[in-house]
Amino acid sequence: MQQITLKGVSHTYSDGYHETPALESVDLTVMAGERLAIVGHTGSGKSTLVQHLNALLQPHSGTVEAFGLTITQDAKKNRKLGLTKLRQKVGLVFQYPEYQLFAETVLEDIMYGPLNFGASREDAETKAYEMMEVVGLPKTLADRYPLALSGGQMRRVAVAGILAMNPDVLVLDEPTVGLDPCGQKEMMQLFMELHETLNKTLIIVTHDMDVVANYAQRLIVMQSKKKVFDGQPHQFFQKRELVDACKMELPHTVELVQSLRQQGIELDEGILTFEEVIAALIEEEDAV
Amino acid sequence: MKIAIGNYIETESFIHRLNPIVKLTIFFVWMITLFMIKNLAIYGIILVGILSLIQLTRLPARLIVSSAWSLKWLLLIMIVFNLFFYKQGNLLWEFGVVQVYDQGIYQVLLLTVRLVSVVMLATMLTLTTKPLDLTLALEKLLSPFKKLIPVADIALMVSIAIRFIPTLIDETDKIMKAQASRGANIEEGPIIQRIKHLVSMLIPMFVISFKRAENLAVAMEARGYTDAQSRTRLTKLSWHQRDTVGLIIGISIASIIVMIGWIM
Repeated sequence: MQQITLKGVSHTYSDGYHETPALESVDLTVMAGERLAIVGHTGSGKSTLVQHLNALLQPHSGTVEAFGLTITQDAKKNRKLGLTKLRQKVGLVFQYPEYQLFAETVLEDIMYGPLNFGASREDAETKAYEMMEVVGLPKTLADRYPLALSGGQMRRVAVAGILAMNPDVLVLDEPTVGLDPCGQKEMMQLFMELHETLNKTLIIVTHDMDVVANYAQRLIVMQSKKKVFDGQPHQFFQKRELVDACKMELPHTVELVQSLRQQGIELDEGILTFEEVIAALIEEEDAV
Repeated sequence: MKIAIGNYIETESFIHRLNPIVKLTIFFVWMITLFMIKNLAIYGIILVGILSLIQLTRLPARLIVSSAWSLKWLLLIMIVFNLFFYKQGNLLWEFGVVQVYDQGIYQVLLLTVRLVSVVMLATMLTLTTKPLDLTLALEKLLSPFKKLIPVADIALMVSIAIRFIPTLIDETDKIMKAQASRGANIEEGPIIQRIKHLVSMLIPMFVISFKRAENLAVAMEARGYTDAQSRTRLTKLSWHQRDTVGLIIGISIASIIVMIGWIM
């Protein structure tokens, strides 16, 4: 089922004097329950793209259709639609938790979203405790000042704050940046669980190709304001010229597989995770 | 974001090339002149003069005019207060407790043209001069008072403040988007609700600004910063013939206007 559809969306930033185009005629269909990764070099338009998904930005031409709303370039009409409804459905987790944590306690901060979307205090509180557990924050932290927590914990509070709104789509902006390798893995594992148990659509904006290899079912590549690739990740990694043109790197696993193939070890080119590499190597050895 | 003040825009013009010390001096002299004139007819000439000056800067006129337009609320409040509470001159119109005097109208017009002129001139100054050149000029102009006030430190503080305006605007934008994603809406809804949402944006702004200031202080000390007084400049302002000419023209215009004001 189609959840969000972008048709010919363009966006131009303007400061009254300079006009900087940021997105040029992008088509994108997000299917319910899929795991989508969006990658692109700095300035490729990926941030601008995802901000259209919950109407933080509105298209300057083209349309965004999502959850029964059709957002056009007509700002007045858009306002009448009630865009906050869409923000509850599409939860956007920003890269830096410092940009959103403000309440005196962790619990209050997580309750902020649900309260804004009309939940009662009791419901919001129950939901907040529930989400603290989901993201792996101990209950003892509920009364702490959020900005006094460690970076990893702050990130969890921020994620819990979005999850508490119960969105159908989760958009994650650079979810692993600034976390140690262990924290990165835990964070991604958490999102995978949410995806599997609650069937949330995941949209991951990243430049970490290992995250793409490990977690994405579908990959969107942005390059100078345009969508240049839309398909399965392994298909992209085999297009060497496109990868280079987009200034992207290959995931470690793909590099490994490619150098092994050059050594004459027959491995499938579609291999993306280390588990698959190991399994394939064992199989290869058994065959020999 | 549409904030013209503190935003330098490069175009090829005589005004751009003028030494910032000249521009700043003329700006101060003209400001004093503006507040010395009490004749509305002369303000007509001054406004025409400002508009032609905009042409000289080769900047889009709407940019400078819109900076004056941003004063509309301040002006409105001022107009209301002066019209209804200024009680001198001939009574023109009366409605219950509201009384309008001709002197009140005169005051309103005077204040409006003064404010609009000052803001347009200030906008032109910042649009044609790089912020750092401006603070350097300020430092140079204040240098006779070095013994009394820490001029160099103040200049550095001002230039850091100016330097961080775009950064803070950027950050405010991100914070507003992060909170909007959680349903904050400062444009609609009951006023109490809107203030609450505003708080959710103000707190992260303060937190981030303080953090940034701390980081900057550490970074400066790490690179051996002790005080601004003993520092030398990488670039020095140079004085050309055009600067002398500009200064003379600028001050002459002010003197002529003051003299006309005297005669009329």
